[in-house]
Amino acid sequence: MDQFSASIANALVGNKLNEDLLEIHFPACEIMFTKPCLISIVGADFTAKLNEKYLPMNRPILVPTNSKLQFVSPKSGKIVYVAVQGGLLGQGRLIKNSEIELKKKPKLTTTSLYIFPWSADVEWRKYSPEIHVIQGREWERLQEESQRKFCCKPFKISHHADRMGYRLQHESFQTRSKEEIISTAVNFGTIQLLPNGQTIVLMADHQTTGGYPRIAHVISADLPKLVQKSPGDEVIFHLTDQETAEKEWVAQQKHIQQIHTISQLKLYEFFEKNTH
Amino acid sequence: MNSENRKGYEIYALGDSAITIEFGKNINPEINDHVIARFKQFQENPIQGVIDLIPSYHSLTLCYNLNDVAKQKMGLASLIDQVRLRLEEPILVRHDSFKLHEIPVNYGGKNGSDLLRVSQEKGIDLYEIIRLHSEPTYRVYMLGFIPGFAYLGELNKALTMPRKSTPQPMVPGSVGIAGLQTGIYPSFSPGGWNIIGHTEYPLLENGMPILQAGDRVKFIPLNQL
Repeated sequence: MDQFSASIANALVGNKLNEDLLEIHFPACEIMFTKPCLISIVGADFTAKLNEKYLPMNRPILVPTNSKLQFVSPKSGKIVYVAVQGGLLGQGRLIKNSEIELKKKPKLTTTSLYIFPWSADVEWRKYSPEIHVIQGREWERLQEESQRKFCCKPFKISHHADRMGYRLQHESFQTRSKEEIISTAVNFGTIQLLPNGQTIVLMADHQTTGGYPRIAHVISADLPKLVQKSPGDEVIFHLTDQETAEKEWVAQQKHIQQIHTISQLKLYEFFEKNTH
Repeated sequence: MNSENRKGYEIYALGDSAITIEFGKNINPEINDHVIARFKQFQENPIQGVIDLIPSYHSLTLCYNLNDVAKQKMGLASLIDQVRLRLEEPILVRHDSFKLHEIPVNYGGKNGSDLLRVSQEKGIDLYEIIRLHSEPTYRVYMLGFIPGFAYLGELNKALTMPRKSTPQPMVPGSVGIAGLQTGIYPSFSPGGWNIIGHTEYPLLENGMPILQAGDRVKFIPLNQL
């Protein structure tokens, strides 16, 4: 869902950016470490604790054997990512009361918790309500007044919010035409107009096609920010264009790439120093 | 089978990471044959940066890696140029080969709970609805919105119903209608179509869809008519 946080989490432990990791929603699971691991926690702040000690976010952390990781209360955001150095086995699997295997056997021999002295800058995904969108194919179906409202009024995320879509709360939008459209492709971030004048933003597990008018699309660079909103949080849409969307995306990827490069270097230095 | 080169198409952006090529404005077997042929063309000879293809009734959507596209000098315009060049190439369009599926349906009842409402709103007798729905041999125009969901057309105009204003939970095997389309939900999912019946016919095998784009479907009513 939040590819930005997931990439940063992987970058911090020196993994490839799209390595398999844990995506955790609240109420969260408890994780028992039966081997020492290098981990990172990025995304929503659910107040992480390891054996009753509070853990910071956005940092590499060495976790010793027989540690219990818990998330005690949600403070901000909706989804947290836990990356483990070397990656996890079990692609795209829903994990329930089961053992998760590591892809590589860790060579770590740590016996105590160690929090690294550096952290990643995740300012990118500040929890502001501003979300940028590109006009959709059926944008013109909205009456002018509804178009204006769509662009500047704050909307709340409703309680119908899951991995398939987040429904928004606002007064009904009026359309010029009620003509049915022929089902065609939709995308992660597509904002569909439902027949009752309400809207839904499609999320990562969205349908591939749909028949509701597509009034706008959230730009890829703003999806991580939107994904982290909880029911009751506000969003304000701003229209932008393809060129800006591309620039924002490239800048965001560069930011992740930089953290990745620095992390690998710092981790290498750290482990060199500590094995000699 | 004949060689065609459709001139009338339109390309529009679907957000910042996909484009859709629209080959027509309506549900029409010839347009759909063309979509399937172009789908195969892009599948067999992929364009750099394109990561997914989604065929539909009258359009083909190309999802691309925004990194790859943004890195090019002209950005999206470069990709669209490449797509236009491809669309200039004539391709073989098949209008003749298909598989027929006969699908038994229990109309109405608990798992076809919208049948009564459709009958009331349309002012058509229940049995007439069943007759009209099971009369045509439908064509699988496209697969989507979840694995194994086949969009079938074209429904008799007398049965045209709008989608529900809010999506509702669906059970596997639910036979629904919306607009000029009919289809079957293969798994639990939210859906906005009007459910008029239920089938036990298998729609997925090891997670893969049984019905394919271009196949034909005939519904066999299990109700006493």
